[in-house]
Amino acid sequence: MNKLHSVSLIEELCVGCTNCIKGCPTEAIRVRNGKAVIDDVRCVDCSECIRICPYHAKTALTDSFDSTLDAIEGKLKVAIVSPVLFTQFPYKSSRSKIMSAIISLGFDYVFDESIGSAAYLKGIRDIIRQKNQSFDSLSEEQRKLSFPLISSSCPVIVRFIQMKYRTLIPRLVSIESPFEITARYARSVLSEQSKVNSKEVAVVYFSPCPAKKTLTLTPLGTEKSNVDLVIGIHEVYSRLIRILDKKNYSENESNLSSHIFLSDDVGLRCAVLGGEAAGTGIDNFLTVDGIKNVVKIMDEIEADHLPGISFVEPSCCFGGCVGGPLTVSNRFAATARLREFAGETFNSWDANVKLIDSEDLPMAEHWSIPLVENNAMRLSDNIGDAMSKYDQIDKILATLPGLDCGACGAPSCASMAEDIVQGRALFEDCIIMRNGTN
Amino acid sequence: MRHTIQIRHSREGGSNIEPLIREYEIKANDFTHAGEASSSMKRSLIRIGVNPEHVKRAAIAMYEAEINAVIHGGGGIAIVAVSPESVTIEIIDKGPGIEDIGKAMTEGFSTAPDTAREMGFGAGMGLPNIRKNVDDLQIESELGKGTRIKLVVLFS
Repeated sequence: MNKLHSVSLIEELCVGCTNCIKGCPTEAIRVRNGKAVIDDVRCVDCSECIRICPYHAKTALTDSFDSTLDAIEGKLKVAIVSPVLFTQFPYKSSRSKIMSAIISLGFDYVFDESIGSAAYLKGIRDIIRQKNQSFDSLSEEQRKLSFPLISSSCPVIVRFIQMKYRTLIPRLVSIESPFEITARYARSVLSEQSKVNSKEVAVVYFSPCPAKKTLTLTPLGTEKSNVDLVIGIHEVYSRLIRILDKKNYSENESNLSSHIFLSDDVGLRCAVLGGEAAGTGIDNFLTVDGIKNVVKIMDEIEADHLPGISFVEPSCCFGGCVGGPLTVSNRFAATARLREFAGETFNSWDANVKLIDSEDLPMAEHWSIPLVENNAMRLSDNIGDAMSKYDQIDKILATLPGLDCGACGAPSCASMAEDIVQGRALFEDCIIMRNGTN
Repeated sequence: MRHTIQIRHSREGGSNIEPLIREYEIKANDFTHAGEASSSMKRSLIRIGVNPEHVKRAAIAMYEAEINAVIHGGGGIAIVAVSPESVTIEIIDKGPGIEDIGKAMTEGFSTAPDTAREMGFGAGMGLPNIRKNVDDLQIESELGKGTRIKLVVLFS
């Protein structure tokens, strides 16, 4: 794939209905000539359209399993596993067992993303500590800007804030994503341990969501991703279950348990909403899931209506990453299973499995490139021009039927009015006006 | 008796672009919809591309004035005029008027009834909060007739 983002249309399945245009939080979809068209600049990969499309015409472009293995042939193959993967299997298993099955699929090393999550949490605790230390010397205005911090681990939320909540950009945790931390760590450990050049290491991430694929194509806050390819959890699931279903499969079968890197349960719990907040060590946090609910909370933060809240953990998907669109299992069951994994005792694992405890965690790197606003939703760069467009939009809107039927291809009469003013649609595209039935 | 207060830090200036003018209705004692006018104004300014810091100040000030009209003013109207340089917001009510504007401008002073306080309003921060966020503020109030608040936020 060479697109800049992952959510895409399967044209032959699209019937041109209005389900997806209505659900899109950034109004990024229009139906044109009977097919949905996604605006690449506005799409934040939230996957609402994938969930809502009754014809399954929306998809997330990720790398296929077979093409991935071909592409990385001859390199040291490293898999980074989202902990969501562990929760997908309908029976009791163990993290090390599932990871050893990944090795049997053709990988040389497997790292649990929880390592990066634990490092990310440590980074957040450091930021909170620093802010608290300087808090007393700040003016009232500066204090308001200090808290709440907003987690940046959900890339959909970060891109959404870039587009719709520019003032909140400085509140984002300015640390690279947990899976990126894990990938960088894997590269450094392996180039040291196996004496291979970093270029000879291929890192593949098993992801619960398409936004992580997008993040490797257009990174946030960093120049280049440490991850080469991204495979959806749903795709690797069927292959793993065939191995794990075998009678008496045990992790020792691969004889490579020393190639498995895990962390303690603090990072693991980040796969479910609230896990991150609990790991910050503070009590005055807020968690929110679902993009429409996130909008409400961002409005509240912008208006300074949440005094006393120091940390906000927003997740685009309901329930956190276990609710991701590339998962297989029901998220409620997955959440319950995650708790079981978090209770695993370390001595139940093969002695050769590498446990990265809190002292050995990698450093979480801060963003090296400042995040900027995405002004795709602005009417114009010139304020006078924007004002005149705003006025025209209102005048056109007053003449439209106000049914928000979507038949013109825009999600609402208001966005249709905007499309007309911006030259993207014609007044005649409104079926009701054209038929003169209103 | 007619009270007037003026706080002015602004400079006069104009542009040749027609201002955008919008009018909103504010309903008395309707706490469910209180704040809708200011949030609608806020969304317009963001779409036009006004600097978010200025949007925020205008939104906070208008929200407070709007809430005052809901609690004390028996409802009223809001008139918002946007130019490329500033936003001017007038909130006009036909309520009982403010008895002592000086007192009303004091932080913590409130005459809000319990019904409003139970909703989390009426902490006596309304007018002080408006003053903090605007570049120009005029309050005219006549007992028994009503109150007219005019505030300006400059975009530079």
